[in-house]
Amino acid sequence: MSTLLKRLPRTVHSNRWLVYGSITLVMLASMLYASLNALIVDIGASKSQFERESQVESATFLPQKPFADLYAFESDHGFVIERRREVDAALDGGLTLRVFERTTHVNIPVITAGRDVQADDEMLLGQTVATALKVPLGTTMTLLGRSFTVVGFAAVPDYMYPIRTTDDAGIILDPKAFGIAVITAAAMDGSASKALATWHVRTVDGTTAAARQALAETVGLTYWQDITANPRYTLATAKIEGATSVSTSMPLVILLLTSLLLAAAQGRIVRMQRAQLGTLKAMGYSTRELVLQELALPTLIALSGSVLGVLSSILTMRPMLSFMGSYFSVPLYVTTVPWSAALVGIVAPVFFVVPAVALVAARLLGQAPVKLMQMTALSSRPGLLERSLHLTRGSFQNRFALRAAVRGLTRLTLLMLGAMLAGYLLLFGGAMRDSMDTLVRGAFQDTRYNYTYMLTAPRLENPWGGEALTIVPFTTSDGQLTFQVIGLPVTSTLLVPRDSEGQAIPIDRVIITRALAQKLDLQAGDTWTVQQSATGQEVTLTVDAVAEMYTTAGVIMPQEHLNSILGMSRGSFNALLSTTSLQVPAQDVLMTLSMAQSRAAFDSAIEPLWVGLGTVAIAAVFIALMALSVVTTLTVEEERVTISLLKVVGYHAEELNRMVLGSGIVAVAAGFVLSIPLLLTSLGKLLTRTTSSISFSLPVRLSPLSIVVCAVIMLATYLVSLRAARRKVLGVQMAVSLKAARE
Amino acid sequence: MVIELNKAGRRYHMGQGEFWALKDVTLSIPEGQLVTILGPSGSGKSTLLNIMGGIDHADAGTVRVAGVDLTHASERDLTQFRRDTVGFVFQFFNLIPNLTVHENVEVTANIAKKPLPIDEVLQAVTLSPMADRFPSELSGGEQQRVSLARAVVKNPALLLADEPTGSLDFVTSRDILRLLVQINETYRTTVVLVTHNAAIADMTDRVIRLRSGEVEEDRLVGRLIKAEEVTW
Repeated sequence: MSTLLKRLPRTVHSNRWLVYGSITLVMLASMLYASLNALIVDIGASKSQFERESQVESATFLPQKPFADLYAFESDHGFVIERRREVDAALDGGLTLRVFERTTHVNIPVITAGRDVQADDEMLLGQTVATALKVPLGTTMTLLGRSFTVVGFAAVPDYMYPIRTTDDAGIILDPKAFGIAVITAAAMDGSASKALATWHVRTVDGTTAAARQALAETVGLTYWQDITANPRYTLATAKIEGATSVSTSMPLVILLLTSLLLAAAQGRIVRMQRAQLGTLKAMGYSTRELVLQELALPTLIALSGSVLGVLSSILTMRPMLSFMGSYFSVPLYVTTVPWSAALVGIVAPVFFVVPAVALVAARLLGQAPVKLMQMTALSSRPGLLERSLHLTRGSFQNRFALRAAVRGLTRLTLLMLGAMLAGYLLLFGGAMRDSMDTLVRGAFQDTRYNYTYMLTAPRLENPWGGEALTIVPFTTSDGQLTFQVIGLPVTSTLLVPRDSEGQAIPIDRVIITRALAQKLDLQAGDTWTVQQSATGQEVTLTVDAVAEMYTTAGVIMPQEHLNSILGMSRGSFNALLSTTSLQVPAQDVLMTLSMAQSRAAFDSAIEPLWVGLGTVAIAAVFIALMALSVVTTLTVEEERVTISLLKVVGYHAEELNRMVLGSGIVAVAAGFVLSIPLLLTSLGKLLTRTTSSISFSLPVRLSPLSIVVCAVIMLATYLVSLRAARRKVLGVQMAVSLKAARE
Repeated sequence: MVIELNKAGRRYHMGQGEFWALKDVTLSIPEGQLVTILGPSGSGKSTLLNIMGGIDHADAGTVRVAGVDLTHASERDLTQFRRDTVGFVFQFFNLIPNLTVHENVEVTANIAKKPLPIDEVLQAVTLSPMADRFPSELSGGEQQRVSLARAVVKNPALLLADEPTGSLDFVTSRDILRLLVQINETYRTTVVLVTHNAAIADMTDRVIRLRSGEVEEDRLVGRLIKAEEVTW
């Protein structure tokens, strides 16, 4: 081993705070990067495999008449078609299970644990509900008046995101209140009278236009939904894609910021050793040899931090993956950290830090040895900015602190970067909470009803009460987005759209929700053409107003206007809104949505979000502490002579702390403030991309309260790091200045 | 001749202006000579020494040491020159704080062409018992002896010492001076010693006195006294 390399373990020991802090920082950043990337790659790969194995449908439809010869139709067109019956079963504790019969050709349940159903008293339980309610295999459950034994857990591809309904606040997942179950076809026969039968077609290439046309010509269609318009599928896809954006861009930004911070800190350490380097150069060491020596410590830090980070990601990704796997009902086929993520996680810090430090060292060592040896202190010669600073007012301590700040601008920039990094993470948590809050409050504030009943067919008479309305799915002319058009009575009191100032918008015009306006970039006065989903009928609409509703991409217009567009009779309706439960016969109801369930679902959904945000906040505080610790340690190291001299003169540690480190608060505040626009911009882009293919928008909100809370956490973190730095200031010996004076 | 300077000069920029720290210095030093460069603070002593050692450059004239033209040498050639030819002893030792005494010497031995045995050199400067200590555990005199050992271990043709006794007490200083003479005599190393202490001059072969960057006096002394007899 080279003699100079023997310095390495001793340097590590004597600068352990700095070294271990830096290693931890790199480890956290690499761990975050590798585990989140692994999560996304694995869940994506699992989803693809799941879709292949389960033969996911291309579309769901309801025929107007039975097939004359289904087998012949399938052979002629190359489609696979299967009917599937489903029925909702209410269980104790507010749990509803949507029970499917076991299919064999399309949407085949994939067993995630246990085994498939073999007998008629056996059932498969949905993976999400089984996880949420901790139901073990072998449990006996009573469904539809019969007893079933849970012999396996399963996932069904068109219920990848298992939600009860696909309207409004029903998009929120509540696995404790809703799940799926699978029983044999024979077992379903016993409940056939209550069951709803839907048909599912799988085409060879996944496209549906030909299938839709062929089916419409052969059996007629009363209902058609592409899988790409099914929120139970698209929400999973969109959330995974959204998570992909978050999981690749955010940790990469953190990894880059960390590398930058580390490179800058290590570069300064190299500069602090200039006298030593000058001596070695005078003794005959070449610039190349010395640069290589100086790279040992940053390489050690970057490499050990990143390797530890990637190794720990193997541990952290498994619980994260299990959580994702239970959140989306996707069997986990792949649970490894991909080589690419591991490689980037390990290489990136080394790749950024080592060349940066090499550049600093090479530039420094380009100077003559005598010059290197003459400059023992970094700040020995005031820079232009400091020289132009003519301070006459204020106390000496404040003037000193200001001078120290100007002299240490690079250091303050480092501190600002660290604060930006931590502020970004903290505010990310706050913004997600505020955005969800705005979304849901918006969803509930316009609604005065508690129940929505979707009827199986249009009606003219309403013997059940409530507010009768017409709801029909439409798609954009390019087929990319499906949304609902709601025909509302002009006198409606149960659904009141409001404008951005909170004023009720009269129901005598075409109103679009904010979610739709954002997705299609529409505003009042715009005209655009849409297609009725089931029939393909084209309609041109002009937007009169925009309602502040984010949960549904939809259109609200007078009911009679919609009925006339659809060619439906005057007074016709296919849905009911009600404040109380209505006695509508089950065979007439396509689906029921309870707002109470939606609210409960939201509360249930928000709970893990809080846990997630808390975790992010803790990680942010830790990263901030590490970053601040690295920078304050550097500051104390670089200002040792000054600190020592001021101690000799008689300054107290508290005064020195304030003078040397006090200006850091400005950098921390600046970093935090800068992280706000950075976050809002990146989050805005992220959420727009995430929700582009689904029916709702997530508004980007960051409340003053969140900013204040995050600022307080940030300040507290800074004060803690200052407290720790105080010990370092106290540790500086007075003899340092005396020795330095001789150098 | 080991060292030949012809009208060598060194210029420094100070704010808007410039000044010559060394002006028209012409001298030659033969192999094996023990030379003292004397002069008050700011006279250019250290600058001259640094230029001779290739750790600083001349802005005017020519400098040739051990056959190497330092005035026109590339960075690579200068490094090789310092590695093969020169040993430095600094006033404040410039030891590497996180290497032991042995390792501080080893650092130079590692890159030398024909290094002397480290243990032998440590023995010569009476530091063998302290080989495993770190610089912070040594006195000033002991640290300067490590510095001396570090310079000598590569058996250089030229040993340059900048105020080697400047931060040492009288007794320790004499010890260091004795070692310098011993090295000069044992290895026939050319030794150039910078000092502002005129008392040291009498123990060397020759005195070059500088004033305001110019050679004021250059005379042979002929080692009038022994190192042990130096007093001030």
